[in-house]
Amino acid sequence: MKMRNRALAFGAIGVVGMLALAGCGRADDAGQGGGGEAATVDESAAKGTIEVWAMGEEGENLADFADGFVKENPDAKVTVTSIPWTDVMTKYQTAVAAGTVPDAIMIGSSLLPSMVAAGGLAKVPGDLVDEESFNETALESTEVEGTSYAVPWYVETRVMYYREDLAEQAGVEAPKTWDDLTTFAEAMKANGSDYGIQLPMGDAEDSTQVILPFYAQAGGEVLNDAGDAYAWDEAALTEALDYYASFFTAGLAPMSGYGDAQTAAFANGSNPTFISGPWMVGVLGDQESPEWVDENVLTTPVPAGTDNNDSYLGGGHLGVFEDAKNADGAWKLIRWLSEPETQQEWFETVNALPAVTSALDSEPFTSDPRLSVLNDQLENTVAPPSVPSWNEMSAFIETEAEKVANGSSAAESASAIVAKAESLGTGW
Amino acid sequence: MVAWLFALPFLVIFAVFMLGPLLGSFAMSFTDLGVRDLRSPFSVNVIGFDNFVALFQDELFVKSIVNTFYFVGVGIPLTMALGLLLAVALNSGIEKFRSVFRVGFYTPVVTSIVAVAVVWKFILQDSGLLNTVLSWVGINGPDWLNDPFWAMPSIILMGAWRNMGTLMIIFLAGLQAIPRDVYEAAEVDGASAWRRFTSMTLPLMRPTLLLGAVLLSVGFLQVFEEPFVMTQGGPLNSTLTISYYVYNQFGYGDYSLASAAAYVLFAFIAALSAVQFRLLRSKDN
Repeated sequence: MKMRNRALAFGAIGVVGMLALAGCGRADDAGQGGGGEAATVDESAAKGTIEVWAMGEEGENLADFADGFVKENPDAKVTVTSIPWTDVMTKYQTAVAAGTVPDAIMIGSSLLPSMVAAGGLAKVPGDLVDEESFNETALESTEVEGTSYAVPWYVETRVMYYREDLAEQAGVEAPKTWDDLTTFAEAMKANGSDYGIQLPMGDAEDSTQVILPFYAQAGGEVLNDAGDAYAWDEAALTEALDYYASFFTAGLAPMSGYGDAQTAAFANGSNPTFISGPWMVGVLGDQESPEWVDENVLTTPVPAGTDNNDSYLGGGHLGVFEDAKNADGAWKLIRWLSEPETQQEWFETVNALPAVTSALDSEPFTSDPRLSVLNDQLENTVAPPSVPSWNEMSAFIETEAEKVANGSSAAESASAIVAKAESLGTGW
Repeated sequence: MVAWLFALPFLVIFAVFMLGPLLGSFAMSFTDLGVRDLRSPFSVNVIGFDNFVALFQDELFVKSIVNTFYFVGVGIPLTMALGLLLAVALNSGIEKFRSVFRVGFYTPVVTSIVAVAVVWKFILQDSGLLNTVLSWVGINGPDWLNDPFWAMPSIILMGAWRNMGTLMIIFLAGLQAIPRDVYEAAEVDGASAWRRFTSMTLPLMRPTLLLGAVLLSVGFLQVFEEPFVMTQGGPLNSTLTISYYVYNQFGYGDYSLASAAAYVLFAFIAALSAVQFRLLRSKDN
């Protein structure tokens, strides 16, 4: 679903109302938050109330979880406000415009550029955390033109799910390369399934979550080294679009994309393969039964293109507001949350994969078959670029990919994407 | 004085929530205000008509205009025909259970579109109810909502179904205002049912029909919910409407371009309404 767009749009509607009221006091650095020098955070105990906004399961569980932090910092108190994902941007924009911000906020990785563009986030103090300790892709997605505005909290990545029983019948094993995947899907279809693989279609299903990895797998980079302009590689883009579209034109993937029957088609065997995140184990378990999932569903890292087997990386970060009343306490809470032991405990609480890589070097991540697949995949990931124009850029790519899937030329779409990138700019 | 005092609550709410944003977005459409200007909305550049020029150079916006007029051009006649058909049937043919039918046909208007969308999606999906029924008579139906050609007709059909109830009520009121004895006189003179409909009902209903057309076209030009819940503007942007384009631009953080697009839509609505009011008035005089 198009959550990010919806969140942004609802936020924007609020903004129109705010415009008349929020005119005064323009900061010179408007446009990119954190104009001043980053604060320094010492080793002393945190004090005072720390207000945090968080979404989803994280928002529901963080308050209790933070008891561990309060035990170490008896003078501190953590209050968590749980907010729905769809309201994040609205609440963020309203709070920033009106100056009623909490101390810290959870940031969906795709929302970070919009938040930094709107202003209000403080720079991460240089010595707060050891940047080397984080998943590299996650860390990059907290940075805007070299400056970090948030600390990675948890990550999620996509792996390939397929029906073990049907693959056995079809006589195929987990695909390792692009060609393997095509053969795999063909064999599944020949074995009696309606289709071989489920792929997302169009803007509505955020198909860049699959196409962006295909592009990275073909060796493409999205931004230039400085991170201040798109650097689409037309050849890799053509390759990725062609590969994506080949499943549709060969009848191996339904033109309707996932549609409303994604898990049902997987369970009844009519479409026995898809690429998705770790939450699908739970979704399928609820729909069928956890035993059924154990017996019939295998996961494997995504197949590799000519260059690598990068998969889509998402996740959540934590940021602190420039106008926070208790920024010092908030940074200390974030530092505590990014300690390896805390990250492991947090995984046990809400099943969110640690963003700190050393936390993944222990049980259960090394031995559990499903977790170790995710763990392997986390070494090869690609995240959407941290630029405000990505929402529009990705929507454009999704429509172009839809055209190619309908039979138009991949090369033409690739050059249209390059031209669009030039006219759009990064949006800063 | 006292009257103004009573009007004050409304005026304040109107000024803050309607007039303010209205004027604000009008001013915004001539600036380059975007998400980065959130904390300093008055420090933007005034860029004149650049947004409007950019809009009409954007293929997607032009496409959204074409799509919107497709929806309006087919949807309004269809909805009005259905509404009139129902009204006439209820007014003359059906004596028993009239209120049951009236409630039944009005139900779509008051039903939540989100709930309705689920049912419509099931009906229109590849192996859904509609295609199953079509297959009985040997027709191999398309995947309605995922086919760039058929998606818009599907959305129009849903729009017509959702709005015909409102028109039915309006037209029924208009029909019941026509005196019975006029019809009886015509019948005595030997006019057929069809003749009575075309030469009497339609001319006498003209003001009511135009009222329905104006109300409907203002709503239809702003069509958003149907594509939002059914197709998200796809496939291949074939159901992307002007309102949807505005919504997307807001999502991308380009508030000034979105405002400009909203005012283009406003101009279309104003122009179409003006034409319809003129038609309405010329007949009265």
